[in-house]
Amino acid sequence: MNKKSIYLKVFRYDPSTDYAPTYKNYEIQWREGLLLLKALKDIRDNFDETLAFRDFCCGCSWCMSCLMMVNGKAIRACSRLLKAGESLLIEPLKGKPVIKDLVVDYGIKMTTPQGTFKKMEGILVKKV
Amino acid sequence: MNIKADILIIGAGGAGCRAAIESSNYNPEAKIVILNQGPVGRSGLTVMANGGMRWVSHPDDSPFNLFQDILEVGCYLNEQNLVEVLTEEGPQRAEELIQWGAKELIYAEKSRSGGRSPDDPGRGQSYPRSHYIPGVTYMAALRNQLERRSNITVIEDAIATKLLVAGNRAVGAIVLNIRTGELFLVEAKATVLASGGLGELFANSDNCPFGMRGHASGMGYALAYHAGAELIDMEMVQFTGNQLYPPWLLGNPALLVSMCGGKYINALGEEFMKLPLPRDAIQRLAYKEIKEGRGTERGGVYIDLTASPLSREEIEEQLKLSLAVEIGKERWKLIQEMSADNPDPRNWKIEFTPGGAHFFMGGVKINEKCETNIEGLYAAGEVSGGVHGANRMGGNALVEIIVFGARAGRYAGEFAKNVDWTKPEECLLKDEHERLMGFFKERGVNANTLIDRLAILMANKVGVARTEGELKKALAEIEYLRTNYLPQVRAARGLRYNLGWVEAIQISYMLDLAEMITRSAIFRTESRGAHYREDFPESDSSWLKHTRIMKKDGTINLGTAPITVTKLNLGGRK
Repeated sequence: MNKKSIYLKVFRYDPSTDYAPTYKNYEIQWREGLLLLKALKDIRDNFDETLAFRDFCCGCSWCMSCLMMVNGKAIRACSRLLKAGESLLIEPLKGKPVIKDLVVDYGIKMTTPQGTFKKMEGILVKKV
Repeated sequence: MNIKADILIIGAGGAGCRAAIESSNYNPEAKIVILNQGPVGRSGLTVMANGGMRWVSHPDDSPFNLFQDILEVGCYLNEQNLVEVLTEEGPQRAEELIQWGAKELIYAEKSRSGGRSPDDPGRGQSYPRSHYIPGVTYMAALRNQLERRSNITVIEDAIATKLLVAGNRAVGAIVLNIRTGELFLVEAKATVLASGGLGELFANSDNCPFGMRGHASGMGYALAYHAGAELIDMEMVQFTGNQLYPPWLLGNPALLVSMCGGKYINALGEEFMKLPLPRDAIQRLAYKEIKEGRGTERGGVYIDLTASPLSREEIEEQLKLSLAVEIGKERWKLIQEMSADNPDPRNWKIEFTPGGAHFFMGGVKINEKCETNIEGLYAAGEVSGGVHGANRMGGNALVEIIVFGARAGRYAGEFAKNVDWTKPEECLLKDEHERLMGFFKERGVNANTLIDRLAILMANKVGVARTEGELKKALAEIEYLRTNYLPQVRAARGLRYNLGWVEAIQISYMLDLAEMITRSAIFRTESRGAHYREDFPESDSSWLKHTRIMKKDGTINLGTAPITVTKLNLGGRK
């Protein structure tokens, strides 16, 4: 294990093609002030463009668009500072339907036209 | 697959939500569809707003006083009919929002002049009228109202990729559902464009904290342009810049200096400007220092708080205020965690860079009913132009979106009641589908690298201080990107929540928008408000008119349009 790296084990699941979720490991370079949300963007930009997460950021830890489970705890990825040598388990927010990977449907009460969005909701709801 | 709606609203930030609510109030039978690029109330620029609002609340104040102040800040380029609406309806809309549950933060004891919140000095206010509703509670109130109305269909994670017109009539849009990658047609009697601003087009924008996305691609301007709408004042970008260092201040608005009595220092240790100065002057002076080689290694200037008359606790208090720490507790914790080795803000050696877009004053030309030149197309919020003139008074954006959002919703509802659906001229869904699927390629250029490159180009060459030479170089480079890179733009395969694909869709619109801004900036041969030309540093009274852009024969047609004057005669003004 490299002390200057960060090890992320990330939940991956595409309900339209995958039979079951998998976990994928990423090793990224640590740098001062690296935030989890930014690290995920680095992964998407440089290593794995198929990784899905909500990349919007309000910058003030207000909006909660980037809520996810980190080592089993729901936190805002934008406010999680990464430490060198850390290993983290990253999963989608529990209790919400998974759209893809770390993206969940926060669920505005929706009145959708009948039959239009049958496939829109994710299939899997993570309970643990 | 396709949807028929009475009213289609594109964008569910403050303006879009308010439009949906108002058209639902006007006609509870109407079927309203509203789209948003992310979850409503959890994404978009309104959520990010740290809440400053200005509306008339002081007993001695009047809408006309505010009207005059706004025009002065806007360098008289404002559409006066729109400013009248803004100043007169602002208080009512704001109070309504508070009734709906938006939380106004009241800092009575901190107020310098008797308002409900502290006034920033030097922002052109003749009366205390500052209010403070953080964007996140603002949107929570609006979202709550959306959820109560059963005739509103909210489609989260969806973007419009094309506005549809038949003749001169807006008839709906082609929409991409980002969650599933499905493309569908929304036929609408009336369409409200409330798609927000363009911060992502300029590097170091505070619309993109930590370099993430801000849902401010500016795609709406380009959609309107391609549909045939008139756009005005496309050169008017308000810049505030951003912090480059320390990492815990990235993406935070640069309010600290003016509020804490700090100094701007260049790399040689000289104080190169004396505060207070207007926002745009600070930007320009900092830009000049950096351009002339007196910037830091990171490309910024220092903000020195060591000389601040405030104590450490008082500076922290100001910082907490700008973060609305009651809501942003996590961020405050993060700042403390990151600065643990160097906890005193006075020793932070903050580096600041100018040139990031904060707000866009230009946009789709509207009248006081929010109508555009296309029948059935309405625009409200940042995507519309004319309200703020050449410079926006701080705190007016959050008022603008509810005032004009409500109006757009009301008049779109009225329009939709009296007309029937019109078929789009041709079935474009298949073509659009083919175009979007064309981005799935093995080899090519990823859109995010192109967006980054464009953003740096725009900040450097079309930024706070412009010259014809640099602008023309920018234009050439935009053209170069378009011919050499755009055809190669690719995305990884995958329909579900594929943000690389969304970026690939957006980049062509962003290039169009960049060209519009650059061409307008070349065209306006004077300096006014946020538009500063080094080769024409003075305001010129013959330029008291809008630049206007329209699509003609597939290219940008540039002209001028007169300013709508109601209460304040512009004779003798510069």
